[in-house]
Amino acid sequence: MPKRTRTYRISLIVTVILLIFSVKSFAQKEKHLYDTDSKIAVRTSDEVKKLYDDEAFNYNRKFAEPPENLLDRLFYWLSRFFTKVSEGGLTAWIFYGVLVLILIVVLMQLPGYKYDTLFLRNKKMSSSEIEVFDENIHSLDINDMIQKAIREGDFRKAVRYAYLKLLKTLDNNQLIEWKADKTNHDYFREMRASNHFDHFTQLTRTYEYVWYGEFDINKAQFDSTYSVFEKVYKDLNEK
Amino acid sequence: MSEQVFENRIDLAKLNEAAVKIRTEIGKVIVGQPEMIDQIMIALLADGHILIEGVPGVAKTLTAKLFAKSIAADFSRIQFTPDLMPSDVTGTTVYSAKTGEFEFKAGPIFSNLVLIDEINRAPAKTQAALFEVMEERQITVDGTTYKLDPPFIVFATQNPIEQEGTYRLPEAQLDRFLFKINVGYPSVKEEVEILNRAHDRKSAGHLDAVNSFLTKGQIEDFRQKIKSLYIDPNLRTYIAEIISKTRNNNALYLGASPRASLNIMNAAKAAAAIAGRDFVVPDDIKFVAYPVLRHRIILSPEKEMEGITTDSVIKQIINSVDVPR
Repeated sequence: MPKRTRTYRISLIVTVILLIFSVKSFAQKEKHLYDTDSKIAVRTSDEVKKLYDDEAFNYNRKFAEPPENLLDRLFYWLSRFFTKVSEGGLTAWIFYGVLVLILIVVLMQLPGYKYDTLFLRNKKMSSSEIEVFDENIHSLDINDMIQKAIREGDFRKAVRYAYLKLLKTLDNNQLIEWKADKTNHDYFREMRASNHFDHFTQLTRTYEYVWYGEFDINKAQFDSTYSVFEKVYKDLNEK
Repeated sequence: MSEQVFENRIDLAKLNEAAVKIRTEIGKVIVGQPEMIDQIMIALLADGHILIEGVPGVAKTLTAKLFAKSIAADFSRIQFTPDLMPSDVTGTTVYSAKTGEFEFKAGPIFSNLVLIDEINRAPAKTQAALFEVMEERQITVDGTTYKLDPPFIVFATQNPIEQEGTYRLPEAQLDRFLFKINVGYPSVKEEVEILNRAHDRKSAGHLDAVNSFLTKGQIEDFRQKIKSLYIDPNLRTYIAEIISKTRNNNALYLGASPRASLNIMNAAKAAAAIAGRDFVVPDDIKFVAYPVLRHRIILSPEKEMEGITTDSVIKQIINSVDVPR
């Protein structure tokens, strides 16, 4: 049986059952229409006095007049509202729960926020390999990362960071629009009309072979490649 | 400064030569459609079956025949019809009056390249006969299993418009196709070129224009090389993330299977090899993701009614996954 037909039939049966019960609930009861079992409680004068003295039954209380200033009136209203909520027990907890949820939703709407990093941020950031993979290149101190990789003799990583800096530079100069989901081919299309297209093609090829292809690169090869990177940075006034 | 020259660790020179030759040979007859030709080449090298979908008259069958012609291998064609029986495809055991024994008569599926034209015109029982042969490259008839010689590739075509007298392919069968290639209409410029060629060719046959130049052995050799291509672990994660997102998408009723992950990886390797690299880059994955996924995912009824296409959902999924850098 198709899923939709089955759902329709189930909802029809539920509706009929509900109708039967609702009709039955309005049917006239056979027994007495008034309550004959209630007991009359006799209050003592002490109990009545206690009720008289209860502040809740004091109808002569004078409440402070709401302030005329609009801002003061808002604070006045909020203070009264929170006082009422804090006296509410379970209602208060529900209210605060909803408030926290709203706060989380507002935070999640902030630009640059990634949903999957709300609780896993520290875990993800623990690996320097994944650090760049996930982060926006504009928030990285790439120069430091390049220099550190060169100092450590990790030229593969240095090429990778130098290429990320190249993308950042091209984005700053509006030659490409950097996006985390774009591939190098996407940037090729954007760079086609640029004077730096040939250099970009050359550097992209080197980056792909070294980073994705895991090709070794020695110091001499790196120096040669890095000079091209630096030329493009310089041409585009990137420090 | 001179450009860094990186030499591939795997020799792909002959494969690249063959890829150029295929493009040239097929290009003698087919105008445009470079993406379709590349995708068919990738499927051929990744040992996958191909489902070609397009409206009538866009050279689906002709392309399949031209590819078959370019390879020096056995070729057979089966026209799927509503009254086609499984034994018409696989073969059957018949009594031989001469020998007095029952003999197995192999069906047209016993070939290297099998063109199944209008595959969606045969009913489910005939489609089911293809399950074993497409996945395991073997056929079991009357308790006997027959292994097929490699390469074994199914080229199937179907028409997306006609509904009358057609049967929707079962999901299990769709999953066995590596690629579903959509063939669109040519541009005006390409259409003019088609007319010019037809006018100049007069009565010359299409197939005569294409020469066979690839052998079965070469294809097997290329396939072995492609299997050993390098793919970075981050790129494997990238594939897994894309596939995972198809399974948790509100627009989809059914996501992609693990077979889809494997197919993306294998096809991306073949795409890299054709591009002359012995390693995969994210562009290879993006390129093959569409033909690998479009027939494996099923839209939710609401999205289908809204006119959303599987390609647009795949695009949205791919765009939501960061490219490893």
